[in-house]
Amino acid sequence: MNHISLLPLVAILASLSGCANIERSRDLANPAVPAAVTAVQVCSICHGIDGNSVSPNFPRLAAQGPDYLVAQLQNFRSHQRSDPPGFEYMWGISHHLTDDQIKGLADYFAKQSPVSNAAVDAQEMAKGKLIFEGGVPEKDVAPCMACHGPQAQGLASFPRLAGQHMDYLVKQLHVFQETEGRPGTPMKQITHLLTDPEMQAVAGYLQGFPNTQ
Amino acid sequence: MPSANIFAASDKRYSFYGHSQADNIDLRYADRFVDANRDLVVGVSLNNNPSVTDPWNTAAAWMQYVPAASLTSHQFTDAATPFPGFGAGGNIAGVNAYLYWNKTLYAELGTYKTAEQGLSFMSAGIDDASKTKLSGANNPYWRLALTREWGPHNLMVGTSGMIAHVYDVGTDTSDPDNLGLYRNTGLDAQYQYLLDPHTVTAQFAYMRQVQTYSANAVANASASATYVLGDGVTPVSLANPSDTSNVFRAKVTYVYQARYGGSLAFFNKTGTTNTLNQTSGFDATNCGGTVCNASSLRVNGNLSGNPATTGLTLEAFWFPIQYVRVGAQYTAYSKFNGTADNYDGFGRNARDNNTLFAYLWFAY
Repeated sequence: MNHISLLPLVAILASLSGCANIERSRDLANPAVPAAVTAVQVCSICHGIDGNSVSPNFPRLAAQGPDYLVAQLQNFRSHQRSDPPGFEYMWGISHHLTDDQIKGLADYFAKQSPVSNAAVDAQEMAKGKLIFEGGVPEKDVAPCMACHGPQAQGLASFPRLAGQHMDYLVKQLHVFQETEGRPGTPMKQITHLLTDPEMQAVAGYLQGFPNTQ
Repeated sequence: MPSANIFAASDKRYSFYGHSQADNIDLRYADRFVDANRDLVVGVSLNNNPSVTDPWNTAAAWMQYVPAASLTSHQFTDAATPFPGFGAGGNIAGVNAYLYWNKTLYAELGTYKTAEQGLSFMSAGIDDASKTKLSGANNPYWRLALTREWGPHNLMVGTSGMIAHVYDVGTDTSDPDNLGLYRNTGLDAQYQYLLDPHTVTAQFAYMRQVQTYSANAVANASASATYVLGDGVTPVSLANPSDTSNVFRAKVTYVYQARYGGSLAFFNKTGTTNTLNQTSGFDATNCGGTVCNASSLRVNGNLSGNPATTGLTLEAFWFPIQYVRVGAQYTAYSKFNGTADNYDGFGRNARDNNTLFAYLWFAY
């Protein structure tokens, strides 16, 4: 095998690759890359091409509110949001994104269709439903649906929760309760006296939310 | 990629001799074609070690992947591994093409040859007499795997293998009587649970190897039918022209916060007995008919002619910062070269090879 003859082959492959082709670019630092391309080439790796991620390590984004997504990406970029998966993954990814790209990414995922998540134990679902609909009044915990909508579909800048990974939701509730990793929301106040079993119950109900699709 | 052997010279003050050689080399070009209907990763690799390209750590090149200090020292930190050229990171040259379709099917096909001329950098630092030399360029390696992911779980089941025409080390490659044949077939599986802060990995790998010896290797061994058994009288049987061996490995690893971790691995090699593999015994001719020890080999010797080796490896490691890893690995043998006690004819036991290996990695 003559190693010199590999060079033209490499050049041909490079020209076919995302190096030169903006429609398949994986470059997160190029403002000219359309958001839809970034979503398909990069975001899909963790969040799924349709925003329905498989692993609870990565939140589902399908049908998420665009205003909420824009705020999160901007907060990752500015380091205002510093929860562990946020700074482990999203700080680096969002670093060079422009406002236009952020808006485009939010629109891409907002128009995706959510699919139902893994089923949750019925007893846990029942406990979670009580908290979702009635809150925990003796602990000043408002009903989630008051801000997140009766179908947990989200309202304005309050995120959609229906069908979200239970593990992700529990971890974020702990971030709100115990850290300053996500400032600027009412959630710190709301989670203040919530116990872990209560968080598990309501998060389980949201993962298994009926008629998510 | 390069690894260094440093030897201190005792007769020269404040100076040392150094030596370095090529370790695992994998130069690849890959791309991904993804849309709503399909997700296809394709790639091609120029590499020097069959299975080094594999994404899973069940591969021969990666399962117990702590780098070895030298070509020979690794034998006590890991059981014998299949595929020619494995050594301390491989020293043959191959080109492999692979694809991964819809996160379901992985298929790879490659072929290997001697690392010479333009490709000699792949065995750089290894002297010609120790280099692995293959016949021609038709020495195929294949790998097929099926994967499935759900929630935080991921499962892979696969198979791999190789057919390699290998010259006996250090012999004249223009003589076809120096050419032997390796045929490897393996089965492997990996399960992984990945959910921050925990990672749990369970691996299983089985490899069967049929080695057909070169004509010269068999002839030379048969000529030493002057070897006799321990009674000093009965000649050993003639060498078999081929051997079969089976290596089974299982390993469980746990990592916490991608920072603290440990693993427990078990290995078991069994195989056919062959006087060709006996490197210890009595040679009746050398001492004028009296029984005496002849060319027996200490430590690496094999009195029984059987390759059976069994043991386990315990490992603990820590990442103080993201790109530095500190660890220690202890390998304990319950059987080595055929037996637990006196495997080399000089009284060395399998447990005398137990090894503690401490390492420091830096990766960027």
